[in-house]
Amino acid sequence: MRRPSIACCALLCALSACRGDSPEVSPAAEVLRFSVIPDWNKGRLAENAARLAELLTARLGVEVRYEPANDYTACVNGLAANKLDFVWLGGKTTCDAIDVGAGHVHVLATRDIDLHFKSYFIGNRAALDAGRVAVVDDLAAWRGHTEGLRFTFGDVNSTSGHLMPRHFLLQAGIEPEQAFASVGYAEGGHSGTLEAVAAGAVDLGALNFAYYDRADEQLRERAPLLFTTPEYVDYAWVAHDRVGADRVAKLREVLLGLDRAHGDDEAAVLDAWSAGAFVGARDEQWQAIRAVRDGLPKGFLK
Amino acid sequence: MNAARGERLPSPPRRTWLLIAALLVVAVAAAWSLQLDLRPLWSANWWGEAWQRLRQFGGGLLAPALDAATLGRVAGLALDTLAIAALGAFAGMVLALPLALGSSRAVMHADGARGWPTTVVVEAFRLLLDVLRGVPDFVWAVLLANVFGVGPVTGLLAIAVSVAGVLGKVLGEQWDNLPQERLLALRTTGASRLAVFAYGIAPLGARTSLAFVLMRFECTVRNASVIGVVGGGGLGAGLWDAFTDGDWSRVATLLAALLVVTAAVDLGTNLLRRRLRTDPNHPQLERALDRRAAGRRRAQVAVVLGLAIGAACWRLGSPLLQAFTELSRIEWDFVWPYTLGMFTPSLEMTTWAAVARAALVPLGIGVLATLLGAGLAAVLAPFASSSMQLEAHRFTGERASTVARLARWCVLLLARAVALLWRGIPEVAWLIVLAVLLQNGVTPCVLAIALHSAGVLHRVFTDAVDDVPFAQLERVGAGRAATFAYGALPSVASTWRSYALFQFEVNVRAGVALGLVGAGGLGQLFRHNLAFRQHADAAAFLWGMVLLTVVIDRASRALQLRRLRC
Repeated sequence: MRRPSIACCALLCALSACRGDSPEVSPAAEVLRFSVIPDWNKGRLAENAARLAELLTARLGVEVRYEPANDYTACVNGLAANKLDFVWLGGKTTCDAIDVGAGHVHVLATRDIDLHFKSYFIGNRAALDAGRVAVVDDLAAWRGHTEGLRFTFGDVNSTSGHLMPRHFLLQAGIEPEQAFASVGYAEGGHSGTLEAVAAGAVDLGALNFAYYDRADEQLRERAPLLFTTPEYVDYAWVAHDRVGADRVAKLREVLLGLDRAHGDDEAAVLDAWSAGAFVGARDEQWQAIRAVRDGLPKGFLK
Repeated sequence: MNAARGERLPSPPRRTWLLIAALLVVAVAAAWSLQLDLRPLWSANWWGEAWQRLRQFGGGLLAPALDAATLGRVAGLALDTLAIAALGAFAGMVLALPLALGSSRAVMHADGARGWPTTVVVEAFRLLLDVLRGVPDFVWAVLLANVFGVGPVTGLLAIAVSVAGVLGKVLGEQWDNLPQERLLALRTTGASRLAVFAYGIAPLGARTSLAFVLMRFECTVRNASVIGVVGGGGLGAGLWDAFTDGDWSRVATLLAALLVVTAAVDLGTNLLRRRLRTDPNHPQLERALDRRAAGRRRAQVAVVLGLAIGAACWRLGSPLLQAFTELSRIEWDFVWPYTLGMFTPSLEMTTWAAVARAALVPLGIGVLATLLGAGLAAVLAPFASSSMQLEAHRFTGERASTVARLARWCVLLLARAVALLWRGIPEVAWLIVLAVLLQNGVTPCVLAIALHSAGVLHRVFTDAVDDVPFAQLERVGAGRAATFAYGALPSVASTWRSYALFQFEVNVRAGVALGLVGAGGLGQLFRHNLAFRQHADAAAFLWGMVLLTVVIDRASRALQLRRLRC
């Protein structure tokens, strides 16, 4: 019986040592960890994030580290679980993060374009030429003409690739799962949607307008624009208040202060985020997105 | 012995035809439930489009990226994969041992205790093993990423958990299947459970256990090579990123690296497997019981294993250290309710109706893929069998010319190479290759799983054929083809069926896993419910996966269809 009790003592000591290591004084807290939702070519996202990490490390005087993410949900959960300190999220996930954060998570900044964001519905060139899909001013014009068409959303968590397109389709009286021959969720973010439509793997798709506008000319030629949705609020930087009020203020200051006129490093970050500038924002501005998220019929989850 | 053939003909064929008819019905039902639409295959338009896609992406696949930077990164990822596999398998084995002990009746009842408390404990352990095994490693990775982030640590833990599930169950069953009377002497000495295990059960089961552990290690390397698809690090992460980015030349490089890693481990374990197999046609001399030699061999194995584990720890040192130092900072107030939520599934009828509907997808995929895979493996088996190709003269009495013998060698090597390719590329990786040709949907998933399982089954099918004693084949007294059909097939049929059923369970889980990346069904709905924070519903889909595995397992056990285990 002696040996087990020694082992127990050792275990207890080890445990108490762990407990004593409170998060506030832990040296690891001196690293700020951030991530971005994987909504596009991940290689390029990593390059962009590395650029920002470098800039922030220099400006904040603290190591800022980029943690790659594999899916949107993990970004939200990472923030709540203290794996991440601030994150670049989409509209829906911004609402998720604020809700899960229970008062500790707030919007840090957004882009100028996010306050007037929109989705594009695109179609395969061959399908358009064959008259199976059409350019429209109102999605309702598609009603009754969707039989046999294969449709793809982006990631299920995407605001511009899934939430809002589904919302506008429903508003137009088109229930995707009923109307289309197949409804998919493209892998690889909005670039996946664009590739799938361009390659003819599907006839129709919905995606983020900003990525489409920047995409390769040839790809866009093979997947022309059919409909532009009304505007809504989308992406945002959100931070957990464990970062500390001072540091949050400093972080916001750096982000809002980015200007192409200040030099190449700042221009590179703004280019990478396709932003004219980052602007301040309040949590309440995402209330409309939250209403759409909560009001959406959840049949597609069953 | 034509008379023997004449006698045999009437009964087996009718049963065979019945079996084939039943399988056809099952296949059609599966295809119907998946709403498999094969009509496009008949249209010239579809083939035209497929050709277009092949020209568009196939070029990239045939021209792998070979610049130094890419090669360096790929080599690093390959090392990560090996390290994940080594540590995952090791941790899984360490976890599996107590679980196997607890779930084995032979061990738990070894000291004569037969009361209900022991039975309850055994059943509890079995349920735990079912949970660990029923949830695919891809799903474990998705859950574990919440605490351990994206990277190799999540991958190795996900793999360790599922290895523990499979290994714990199979080892426990292997021990239960040992002839219990051989333990009697030990029991009468009043030995404790652990003593009976250590001196009786473990040595008796060592050979089969070791063979299975080796096979699992090989599977672990394959799983580790793709766990990155869902955030587990290693080659899979690079492969999936390259695929979703549409960078086909990088996809080609990564696929090649993946194949090199899996094939190397495959061939390596083959050497060891051969020593563990009991081949009636080539009896090995029983090595004399030399305690010192045995001890030396054990020491060698321990050193090699220790070095491998050490190298893996060194390779993954910094991510491991980071993950575990960060553990103290994790906000358990968030993680615990989240985790507990997975144990409190919704009990609403509509949800469970959806679970049942969603379960049909992996089930259908599993049925079709297993039938197709087993069919392919069976067709290829005679060509890869060394009995049929290289040693036919020992039972047909023929004298093949040098040219014919050379040709047969070529056929054998080709067949084995094809099978190595089939199983060397894991399901998800096949899915990526097939996506070029078939677009997304269920069809490429079925084919991907079918091809991979054809490769896996092919090897055990061929081993079974080679294990048929020549004396038995000689009795047919016919040429090679007839000997295979009337001599080998009837005696390997039940072995083949057992392996195919085992693979069926594996394939259904693969169907669930592919659901996470586009196949739909349980996997997809689980992920989507997590995304919309419908945790009770997500939990229902998670338990649906466990139930599916348990039902298949218990059904095949009740039907006594699976008499043997790898």
